[in-house]
Amino acid sequence: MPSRVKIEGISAPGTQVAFKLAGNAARAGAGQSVAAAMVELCELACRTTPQGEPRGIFCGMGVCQDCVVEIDGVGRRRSCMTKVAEDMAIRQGSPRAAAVLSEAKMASQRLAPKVLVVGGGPAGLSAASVIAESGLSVVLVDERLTLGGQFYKQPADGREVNEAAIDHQFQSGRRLIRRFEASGATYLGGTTVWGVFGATQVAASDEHTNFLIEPSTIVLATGAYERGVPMPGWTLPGFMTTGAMQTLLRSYQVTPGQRVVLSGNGPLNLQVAVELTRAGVHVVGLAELARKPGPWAWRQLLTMGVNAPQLVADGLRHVNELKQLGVPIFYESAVISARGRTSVEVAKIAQVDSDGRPISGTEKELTADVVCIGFGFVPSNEIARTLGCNHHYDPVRRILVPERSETGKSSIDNVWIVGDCAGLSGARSAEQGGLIAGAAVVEEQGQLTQKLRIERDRAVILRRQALRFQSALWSLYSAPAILDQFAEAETLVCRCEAVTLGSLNQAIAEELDTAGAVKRMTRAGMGPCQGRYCGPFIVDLVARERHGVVDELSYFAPRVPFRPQPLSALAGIAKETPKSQERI
Amino acid sequence: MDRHDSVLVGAMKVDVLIIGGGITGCALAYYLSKTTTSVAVVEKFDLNTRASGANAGSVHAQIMNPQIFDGEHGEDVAKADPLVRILASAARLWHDLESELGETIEFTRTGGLVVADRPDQMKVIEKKVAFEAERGLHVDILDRAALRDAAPYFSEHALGAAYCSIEGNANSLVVATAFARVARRNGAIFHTATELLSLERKERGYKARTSRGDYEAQIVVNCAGAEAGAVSQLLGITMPITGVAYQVSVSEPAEPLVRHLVYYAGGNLTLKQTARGALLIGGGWSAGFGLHDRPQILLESLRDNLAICQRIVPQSRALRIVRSWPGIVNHTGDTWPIIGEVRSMPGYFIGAFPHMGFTGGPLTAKSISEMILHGRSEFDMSTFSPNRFHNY
Repeated sequence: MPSRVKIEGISAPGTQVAFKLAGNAARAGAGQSVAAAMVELCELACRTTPQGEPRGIFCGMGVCQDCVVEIDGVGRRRSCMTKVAEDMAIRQGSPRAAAVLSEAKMASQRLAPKVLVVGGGPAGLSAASVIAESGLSVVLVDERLTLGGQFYKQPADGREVNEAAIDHQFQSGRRLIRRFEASGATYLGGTTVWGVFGATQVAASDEHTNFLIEPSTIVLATGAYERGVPMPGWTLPGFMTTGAMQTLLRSYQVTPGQRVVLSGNGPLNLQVAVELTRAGVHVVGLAELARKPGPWAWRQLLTMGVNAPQLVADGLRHVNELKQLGVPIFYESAVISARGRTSVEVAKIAQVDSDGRPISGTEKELTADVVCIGFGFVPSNEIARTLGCNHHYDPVRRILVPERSETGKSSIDNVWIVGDCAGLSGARSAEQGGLIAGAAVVEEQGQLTQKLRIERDRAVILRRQALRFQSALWSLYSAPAILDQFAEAETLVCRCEAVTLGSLNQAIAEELDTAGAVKRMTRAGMGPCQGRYCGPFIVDLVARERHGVVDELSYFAPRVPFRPQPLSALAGIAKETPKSQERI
Repeated sequence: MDRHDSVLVGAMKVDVLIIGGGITGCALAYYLSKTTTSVAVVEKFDLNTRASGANAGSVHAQIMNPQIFDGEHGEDVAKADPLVRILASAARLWHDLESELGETIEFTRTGGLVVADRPDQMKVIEKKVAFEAERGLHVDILDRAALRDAAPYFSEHALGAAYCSIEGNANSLVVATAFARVARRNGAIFHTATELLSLERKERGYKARTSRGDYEAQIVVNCAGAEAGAVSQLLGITMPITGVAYQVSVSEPAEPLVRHLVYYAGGNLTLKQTARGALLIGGGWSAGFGLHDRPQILLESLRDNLAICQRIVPQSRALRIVRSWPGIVNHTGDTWPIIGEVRSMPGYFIGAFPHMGFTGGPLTAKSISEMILHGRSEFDMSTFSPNRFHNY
C-alpha cells in the first residue's frame, strides 16, 4: 500500500535521497526525517528494547526517545528529529555497543544575545519577531527541523508550496514565520536546549556545535507534548500520538498506515481524522471521551462562535465531513487497548462511564494498523522548573502552571513564559501572548514604539477572545480524567525502563508515598525521556492513593541534560572560545 | 505502613526514636529491630530521598585522592589516619550485607583502582599505599602491564594504579529501603512526611513534637544527614554538621566496559558501571545552589568531571549522558564522622558520616545499635565521638 499521500497545495519532494536501511539500498524523498523516510518504506519498527520488543514513532517530536535508531554508526539517534541524508546508513534494532560517535569534533560557540527565545511555535515566533524588530539582538532556538512548532508545523524542505491552495493553518504559520525571518532575529534550528545554569547560561547543541548562550532575558515558549495514557499495546509500533501522525501527514506527506483509529479528548483528533480522510487514508473510527455536543452545549458553542467563528465553522465542517464519509465518531468512548504481533493490528474501543472506566459489554474490536491517541497535553516546563520559576498545580487540568504577570513575566525577573508551556491555552492565545511578552521585553528596554503599543493593545483584546474561546472549548470537551482506567497490572507505564503499573502500585502500597521515592525504587522515569510520560502519571497515582496534595515538588525534579547528550559533547562545552568573544 | 494521612492520637512511646530515613536511619532501625527494642523512624520527606538515594553507590576503602601525599598536605594526611581504619571496616561490612538482609541491594565487590597517567602520580600512589598498609588496609600497586591485564579499558596513557580488593558498589536507589523493609517486617515503625518540630529532654528520656504528633523515647538517634546540625540544635547541642552539594551523572546502558570502581590520581573521579550497564560518574564535584536553596548542577563541574572520565576511559566518550543530579551530603567541621552518645545528654546519639555516608552508613548504624544495646561498639568509635568538639 502506498505510504505517500497528497496534501493540498504541497508538491511531492522534488528529489530523492539514496541511503541504506538495515544494509539494504533504499530511497526516500529529500527533506524527510529519518522516521518519515522509514514510514515511506513502510518500516515502523525503530529501536528494540532490552526485553526484545520493537518500538516505533510515538511522540514524533523528540520527547519519547522510542524512535531512536543507529545512524552512520552512532547509536540511539532520534529518527523523528534527524533529516535523512544521501548515503546515510540507518540501522534499527538493539543499540550496538560498537556504535560510536563519529570522531568529528563538536565545535563550541558562545553567544551573548540580548534575548534568547526558546521555541519556534506561535508564541516564540511572535515574541522573537517584535523584539528583533525593535532592534534588540535575539536568538531563537528550536529543536525541530522547521519553524512553526507543533501547531503550525510546516512542510519539510524540498517541496513546492502553492500558497493559495494550502489550508489556512499552514498559511497563518507561514505569515508568522515570514515576519520572524524578516525581523533580523538569529535562528538556530534543529538545536536542543539541554541545560540551564542560572538564568544567564543556557547550553544547547545541534549536530555539530555546542552553544553556550548568555542572554540578558529569556523567553520560554517551549510548548507542550501529549499526555501519556498507558493501556495494553500502547508501546507497539503503529501506536502513536495524534500529533505524531499529524506531523507525518502535514510535514512529510506520509502515512504510517491505511486503517487508522483515533482516540482521546479534544479537537485535534477530529482535525487529524479529517486531514487523514482528505489524504485518502481510511479512518476506521474516532473515539471521543467527551459527550456528543448537542443542545446541552449551546452556551459553550455560543461563546466559541462569538470569539472564534472561523474555528467553530471548521469544527462543524469537520464533523459533517466525517459523517458524509461514513467515519463513525464514538462519543463517551475510547480506545482501551491495542494488539498485534510486531505492530498494531487491532484496536479495542469501549464506552466509558463518568469515571472514565470502560463499560463492560460495550467493547468493540476494530481492525486497524495505526492507533492515534490525543488525551490532552502536558506543558514542557523543564527549563522553567530548573530555573526555579514558581509553579502551582491546576487540579482540573492536572498540570503545573507557572506564576506569571499579565505580560507573561515569571517569578524570575528576566524570564518570560509564554504559550502552551504556560498553561495550555491554545495556539491563538499563544501567538498573542508571545507578542504581549515581546512588547513587554521591548518596553523594559525603553524602546516601545507607538506602532508596537497599538499592536500590543490589539493582542491583549485578541488574547482575551482566544481565552474565552478556549475555556468554552474545554467545557465542551470536558470529560473524565484518564489515569489507570485502561491499564492492567502488566501494562508498561514507564516506556523507557519498562516499569509496569503493577510494580508502581506495589511500591506505593508497600513502601513509599512520593513520586520521587517511587522513581528511585522502581526506576520509572530514569530512562532517556526522563519521565515525560510516566512522571505526570505517577504524580497523580501517588496523590490519589495517598490522598496527597500535589505541588511543584511532587513532580520528578527536571534533570540536566534535558535530552540525552554525548558525554564528549558535555565534556567539551564552552572550552575553546573565551567568554563574550562572539557577540551577536 | 503509617503515612501522612494518619495522625497520632496521644504520644507514641518507643524505646528508640530515629530522626531521618536515609541509609543510616534505616540501617539502625534494622539492627535494633532484630532485638526486642521498639523503634520508630521519623522522616521529613520520604525514605531514601536525600543523599542516601542520590549518591553514586560507591563502597570506598582506599584513600581516593593520593595527591595529599605530595608533601604539601601534611594536615590532610594526618586527617586520613583514622579514616583509613573506619572505611576499611565499613567497606567489609558490605560484603555480607545482601545475604544478611535477604534483599537485593546489588552489591558487587569489584575492587577499586586509583589510576595514574603521569609518573608523579605513581610516586604519591606508592606513599599512599605504604600509609594504608601501616593501618591494616592492603592495597596493591599495579604497574602498566598489570593494569592493562586487569583493566584493558583504560587509556593507553595509564601508567599504573593502586588496587584495593575490598571495594565495590551497590545500588543506592534500593539499599536504604531494603533495610527499612526488613526492619518493618521485624516490627520497626516508619513515619514518613513527618517533620520534627521540637525535641526536648524529659526527666526520663526525650519528647519529640512532629507534624504528625508526639513521640516519647528513652533514646533519640540523630541520623538526619545534612540536617543533623539543625536537629541537634533543637536540644541546644551545637554540632559542626552542614550540608554540601555534589553532583553525579549517569549514562545510558552500555555493554560491559568498566569492571572496577575507578578513581583518578590526578583529579576527582569515581566511575563505575552498574548492573544494568550504565556508567555512574561522580567523584565529589561541587553542585551549586539555585533559587529556593535548591541544589543545582554546575556547568563547570559537569564538564570537568566528564572530561576526566573520557581522559581515563576513552570509550566512554561515545555514550550519552541521560541525567545529572545534585545531592546534599553532610560535612563535618573536621571531616571526620561524628558517631556516638553526647556525654551531657545521656540517651542522645548522633550518627553522621560525612561525604562517604553511603559506605559508612551501615557501620555507623551497627555501631550505634551496639552502643545502645551493649554500651560499647565492636569497632572502636572513640576517635569519632561527638564529645571531641565540646565539653558537653
